[in-house]
Amino acid sequence: MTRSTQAVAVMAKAPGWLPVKSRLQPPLSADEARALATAFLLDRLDGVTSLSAVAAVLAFAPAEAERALRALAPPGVRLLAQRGEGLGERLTHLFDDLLTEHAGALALDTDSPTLPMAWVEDGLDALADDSADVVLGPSEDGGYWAIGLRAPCPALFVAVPWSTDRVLETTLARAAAENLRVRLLPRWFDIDTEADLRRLGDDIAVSRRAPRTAALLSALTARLAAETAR
Amino acid sequence: MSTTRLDETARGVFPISATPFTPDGALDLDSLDRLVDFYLARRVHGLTLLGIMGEAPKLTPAESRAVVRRAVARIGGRVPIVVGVSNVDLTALAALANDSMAAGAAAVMVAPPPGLVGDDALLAYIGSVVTAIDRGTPIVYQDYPQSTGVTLTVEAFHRMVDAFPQLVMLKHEDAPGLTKLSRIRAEAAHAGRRRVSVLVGNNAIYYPQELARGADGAMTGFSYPEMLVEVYERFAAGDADGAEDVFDVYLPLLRYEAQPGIGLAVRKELLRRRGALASSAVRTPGLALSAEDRRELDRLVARLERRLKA
Repeated sequence: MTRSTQAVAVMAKAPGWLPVKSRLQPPLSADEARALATAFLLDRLDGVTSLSAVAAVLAFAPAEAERALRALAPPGVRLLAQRGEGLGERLTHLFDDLLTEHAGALALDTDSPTLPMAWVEDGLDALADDSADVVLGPSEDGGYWAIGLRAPCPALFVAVPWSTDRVLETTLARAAAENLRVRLLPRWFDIDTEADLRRLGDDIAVSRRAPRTAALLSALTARLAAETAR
Repeated sequence: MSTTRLDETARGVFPISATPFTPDGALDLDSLDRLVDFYLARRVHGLTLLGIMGEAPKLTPAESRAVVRRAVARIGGRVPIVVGVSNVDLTALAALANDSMAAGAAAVMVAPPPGLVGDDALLAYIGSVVTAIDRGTPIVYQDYPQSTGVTLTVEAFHRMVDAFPQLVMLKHEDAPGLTKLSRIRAEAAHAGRRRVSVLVGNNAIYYPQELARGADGAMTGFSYPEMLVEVYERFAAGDADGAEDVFDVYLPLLRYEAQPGIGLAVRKELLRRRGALASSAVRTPGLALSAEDRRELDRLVARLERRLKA
């Protein structure tokens, strides 16, 4: 298997169509949260299209947002509507779809704009050289920022307590029960709180990644700081 | 993240990690991943970030935090991480210390600010550090008078060990320091005092002698960390002669790296040649290697490789 046959799918809710970043409202207004989610999405899509020899996919919801997202997404990104109820079903369908055409696939969230793309490449390599059946990128909050598979495995997505701190451990238990070899990528953080936003600002200043988020964030943090000072 | 904290039983090799930069001087966090992988592949027992060799004073606070978080993420709890937090500004010191521990570091390393005179002033300073940082944070005291100008007497060190249970390790770099090391071990044993871990710095130039005098390992940035590990392991296994034989093979290169001022550039160049760094860039102020330096380095490395094959 070669990398040319792999896909990386960004899982995203279309900003403006579904609620996004609700845990950040407040301090952010609904408009600001939507703008931030859009910046996160676009920075992530740029990151994925910068990977060489990988099919970039935007797995989006709701289906009605396709036209709007088509206008937003960089060229070369394939749009694929998410199907099913709940994240587990959606991931199951996504991997079913991708793995009929690709020998390996990796689904990524959009919650961590400065995520090092080199780690995504490490994950793809582990799938490509057959050193792992499942690749997981753990999040500090107990979830995961990426999951990659070589073959569909619906069991990984069944009865997972999504949006809790037990997502990763549950998934690891399912993988063990299926006798799958797991490769864990480095742990990274999601942006869910105001403190996370500050950390993100730090990280952007240093890594010079995520240009859209960077531009927006400096305005947002200035406003939040002014508010705190008042 | 891993909540393992460093304690007095720490042993082995905790290399001082270089801090990677791109040729234009930006922090290169992708190379930090490579560097971490490089150290782990050489079976180090821990890792030290933001030491003097890590060019810590040349980083912004945000860059320091980013280095710690990235390395913590990459290491994933496999070995403990010590973070150098020394700063004349106690608030800045505490901020980096607390942030590093929250991110998953195992301990912080502190060298005193220049200008402290006398044991009492030094003890008072460490007391203020202990008060400023989060309770229970393990501390490594860096004894490096060549840089700080602050002398740590053996008596002051004993007082420090007694007064601050958080103090779990001494990074020993004083010179001449061999007698000091012997005294610390002998007097502590005689008085039934808590035995703290001692790792040696100073480019490991006296490593075999220091191990023989009671050091527990090394905390230095030699570009062939596998030597530091092998010497430690052989010594720990009772093979002091074998340990010294291994050390001797690397000694010419180690001595070349230990040159004051330019040693860091040598080290980063060797790490680059070994695939651990994308660039050997040193941040300003820093010295660069001349063509003649590089030729000497070529020759030293060629000789080392020949001896390793023999």
